[in-house]
Amino acid sequence: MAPVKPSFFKDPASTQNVRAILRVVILLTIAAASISSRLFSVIRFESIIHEFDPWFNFRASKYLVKNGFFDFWNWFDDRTWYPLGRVTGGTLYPGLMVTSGAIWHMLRMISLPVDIRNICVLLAPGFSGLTAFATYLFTKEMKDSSAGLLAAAFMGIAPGYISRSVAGSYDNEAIAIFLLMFTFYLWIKAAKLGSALWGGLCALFYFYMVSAWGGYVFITNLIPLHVFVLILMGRYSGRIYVAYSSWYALGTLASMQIPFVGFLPIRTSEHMAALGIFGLIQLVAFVDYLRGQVPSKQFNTLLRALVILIAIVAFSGLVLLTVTGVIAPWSGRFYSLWDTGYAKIHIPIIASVSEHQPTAWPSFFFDLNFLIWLFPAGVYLCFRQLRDEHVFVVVYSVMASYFSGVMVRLMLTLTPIVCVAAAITVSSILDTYLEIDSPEEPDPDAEHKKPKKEKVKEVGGSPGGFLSSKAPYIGIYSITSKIAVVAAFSVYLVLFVLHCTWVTSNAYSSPSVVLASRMPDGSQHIIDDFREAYYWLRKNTPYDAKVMSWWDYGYQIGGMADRTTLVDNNTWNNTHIATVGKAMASGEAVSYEILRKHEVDYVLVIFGGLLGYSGDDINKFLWMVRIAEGVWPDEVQERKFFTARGEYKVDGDATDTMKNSLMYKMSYYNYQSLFPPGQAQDRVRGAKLPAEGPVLHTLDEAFTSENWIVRIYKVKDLDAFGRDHFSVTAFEGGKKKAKKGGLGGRAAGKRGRRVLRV
Amino acid sequence: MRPLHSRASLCATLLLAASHLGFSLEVPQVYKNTNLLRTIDAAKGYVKETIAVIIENTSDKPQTEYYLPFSVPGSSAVSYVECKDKKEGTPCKAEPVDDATDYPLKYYRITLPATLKPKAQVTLTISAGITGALEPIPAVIGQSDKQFLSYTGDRYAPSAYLTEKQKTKFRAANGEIPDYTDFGEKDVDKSGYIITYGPYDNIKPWSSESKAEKFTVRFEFTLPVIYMEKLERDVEVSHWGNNLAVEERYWMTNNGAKLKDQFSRLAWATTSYYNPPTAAIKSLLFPLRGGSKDAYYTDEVGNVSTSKFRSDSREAILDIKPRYPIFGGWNYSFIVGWNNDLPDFLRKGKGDGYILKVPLLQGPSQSTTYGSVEVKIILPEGATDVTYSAPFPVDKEERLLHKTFMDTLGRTTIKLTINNVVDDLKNRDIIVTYKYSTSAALRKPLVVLASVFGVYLVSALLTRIDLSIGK
Repeated sequence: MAPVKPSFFKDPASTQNVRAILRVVILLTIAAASISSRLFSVIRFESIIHEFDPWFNFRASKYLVKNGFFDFWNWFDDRTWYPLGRVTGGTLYPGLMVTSGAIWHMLRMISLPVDIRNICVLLAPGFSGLTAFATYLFTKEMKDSSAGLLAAAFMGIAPGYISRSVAGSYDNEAIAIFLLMFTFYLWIKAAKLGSALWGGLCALFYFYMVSAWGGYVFITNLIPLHVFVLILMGRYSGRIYVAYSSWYALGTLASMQIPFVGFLPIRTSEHMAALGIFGLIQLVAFVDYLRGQVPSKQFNTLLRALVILIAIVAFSGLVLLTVTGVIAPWSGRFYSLWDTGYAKIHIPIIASVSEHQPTAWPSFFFDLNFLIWLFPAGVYLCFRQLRDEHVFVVVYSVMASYFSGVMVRLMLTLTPIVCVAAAITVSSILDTYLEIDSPEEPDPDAEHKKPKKEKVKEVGGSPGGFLSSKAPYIGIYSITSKIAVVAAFSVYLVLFVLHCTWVTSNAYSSPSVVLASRMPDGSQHIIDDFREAYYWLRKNTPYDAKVMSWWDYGYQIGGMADRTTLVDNNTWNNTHIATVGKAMASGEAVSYEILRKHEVDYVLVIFGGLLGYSGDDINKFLWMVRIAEGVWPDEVQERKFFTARGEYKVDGDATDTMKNSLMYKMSYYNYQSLFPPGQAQDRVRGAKLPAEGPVLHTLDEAFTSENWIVRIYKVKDLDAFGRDHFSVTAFEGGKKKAKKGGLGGRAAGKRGRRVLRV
Repeated sequence: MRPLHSRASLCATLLLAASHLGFSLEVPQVYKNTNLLRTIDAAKGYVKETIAVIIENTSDKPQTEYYLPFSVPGSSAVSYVECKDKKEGTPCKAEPVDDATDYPLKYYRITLPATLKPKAQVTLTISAGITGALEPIPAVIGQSDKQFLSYTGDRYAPSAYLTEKQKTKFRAANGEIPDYTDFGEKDVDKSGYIITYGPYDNIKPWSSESKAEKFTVRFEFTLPVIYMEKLERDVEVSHWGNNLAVEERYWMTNNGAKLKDQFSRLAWATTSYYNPPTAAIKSLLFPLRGGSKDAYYTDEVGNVSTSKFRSDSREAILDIKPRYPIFGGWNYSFIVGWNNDLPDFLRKGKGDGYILKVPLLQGPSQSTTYGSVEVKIILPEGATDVTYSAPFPVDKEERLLHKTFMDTLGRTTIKLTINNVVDDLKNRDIIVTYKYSTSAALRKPLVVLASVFGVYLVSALLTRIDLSIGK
């Protein structure tokens, strides 16, 4: 990966065409590399939608191509959140589905009837190629095209981005990162040129971004922040004014067309910064204009006071509006960005999601490898030049670094800027060390060889010049040191590629719907329990059957089993989720009532005890308890699920509340019969289970998958004789014992009666 | 006077009604069956009835048409009827007689291979597949219980003519026969898995007045009763790819005894170690032609990893295991597909003509019945003058254009629908002839070339247009 260096050629102008073609070829190669490195899971498994959320997006895309855009827009989904339903068309970001729908229609137009599933699976890799291109454009604005090519290459294979864009990971982020980078590029372009056209284009892509991902708020705040910092630095200019005003006015109006966003841009605190800066820049522009007209120093001071006054008034107005409730206060998810402990206390449902946890430090290196230590150097290099666009990089770096530390998921927004900064660093190093000619003794020639130098000088001339720009140019004299540095960096680059490949292949390419294991002979064995059970549901239950499960599996049940669910991964109604949590955490008498009231036909639990699959429901059970406790603190108490010594146990020492809970019973029902008496073992929790398994009164086991991962229970109908289910089980248990005993009816009757009394 | 009149009119009305209901088919009494042997084979999940009969022309005119009824009570139906001269082996035509409302009989008109002179005799072998005649009793069984099927049929083989001598053999799937009807006349004989009724002498032609005597046999059936509610089979010919692609989409049900209570994985896992016979569908075996390749097995939620495919030049076997065992009353749907080299199936005819010979129906080796089979034969784009000859009668034929992979017109396609099929009919070839000219073959590359060139041209022009407002 050697960027083209003008210094090889005596006359850069004569090689312009060659370099252009080379750039195109390199970009195409980068795109190909970034696409193919995301195909591990397709090659290893199949073209399948991954994990949880993508299943909803996939289902929505299918709905879109089947029913058309307007039906999609007005989609009320009565097959989720039973019996409430969900106004799906108005509560999703349609960008992703519309994109794949448009691709589907386009391919159809040229007679390529590709299955919508394959489009969905391959959308993220396809867009990663575009992201690489957008990063190239962005970095080119920062330094030059060789840095751009490096940034594109980094972006193409950085694990931090791959983690969200492997084939099959059909989520909003799949297209959002491209849109993020491209919007930023257009913004830089608009700010540089002061062009309303570029500002308008930026607004257009901002609109696309709003339609695609909730993370658009990042752009909504970053661009105003950039402008604000520029104003503070005294770098206000007409260019910034034109760019910002055109972007904000058009972009905000456009973003309000998305039903899910609606009036949020003028009503919520998250968007107020952009509005405030819009007001501020009008004032600044006005002042600037007046300053041009009235060159009186006193007048300027007066104006400055006026500006400060207006700003204070506006801010207090904002505070007032927030307090009175016209503007919604910060949402809980936002608070959790400032206080990492906030969610755990106030909104357990957010804290229960693993991707909302704070980032562990090793994961920075894991996701970014050597880019992470080149990143500060790149930011430093931006400081050295500090044109308007470099301020953007600095602001972006600071913000994204903070947020990525707070939430694992936001590593994604950090990755692009790390790639850009690292590319600037590597490119600068290579620029310096790949110069074949050693510089002469300091003379005007050395100055001449580095055209970049002159630019720096120009910037240095502007107000706020920096020490660094005045530093004398020092070339590299020794060939050895050149070779050493270049060789070291080549090794780093190679290691980076190896690391990325390894991480992608091992950490980010598992569909999690399908698990892979090895047979004794080394061949791959696929554990396909999820699809086995979902498909059974799909084929062998009535179409309108209601399936209750923990919300994690809601989207998958909707997508694969095509059955009505009570709760799903769109966690919009906490009470409903808590109801399901309560049903799982309570004893059968309470649960059965909840199940009947919600017309539940089947209950689905995930149990990993046989196989050692650790992501099962018993391990998630405490979250169900916590969420239920949040709504019914009197009926469900987390404490009761811990033993006296404060341990969470499933074996013989488990508390009665635990043993009587529906979740425990469903997980371990009949499980002990798989083992010799008294030997039942839970392989996830390493616990030895009691010899006597739980008894279910109100549910029937309907289906258990091959490795017992998915267990489906059918909710019993009311007893035909009007008895409650406990006495029915007791009665039948008694009868069985009588038959087995085969003695006089008297003894059996006694035994039966005793059971009844219990 | 008056009552008499009304009685007469009532009689007339009744007669009229009877002629509509009962006697719409008037079979001329021109034959007698000298000897008739009926074999009812229930070894598969459906009934195969074979009738070997010596017929004699009793009229004084030469005859060509012979009528034969099959009893199809309840939900049962005749899938196919085939006939041949036993001695010569020449096939003869058998076609259903329309609108024979002589329930529960379904008449077939058999055209004799040669005109039968008065007093002459001919021996015919007529075989028929009858679906829906086997009923699981008990209808609901436990997961590891034995499955029993029951067949109810006429004691005397129904015939439109006098039968001098006849015998019925019932062949059960298994020697385990707990119940069978014994008329108490020492006419029943059970040996192994075959039950014989008869011989009976001088049985009169079937008529709706005579009370039909029925026999019932209940026997163990250790295999699942596989029923494909629907099969869509696409056979796609590609001259450019030199490939014949086959894809089959199945909607499958187990029509055996339904599963009592619920499915217990525990019991299933513990018993499956010693692999007992089960009424659940555990796997399906697709024997394919030699040289088949690239086989796949998927369903609505993606690839199913539990399949094996073995192929060499002589034979190929696709062995698939459904995601879950399919018990009685359970459903499953799946897709299998594979490729073949085209030269094995296609021959060049005169001029631009081509002759394609492919099996109309393939399918699993296990006994199977099909509710409806839709076969699409997709010929190359621009193929004309398509004719075909099917190995068995087709219920519906449609011609359409199938548009895929960069087609401009769409590929010439014939879609054949056949209802109520049994797997006796599989692996029989349909012959399709069509014309396909070189210009039609070159159509696609030229169109692609032209459109790519067009895109370049337009983009080259667009880049040369200067849209800027001011300099």
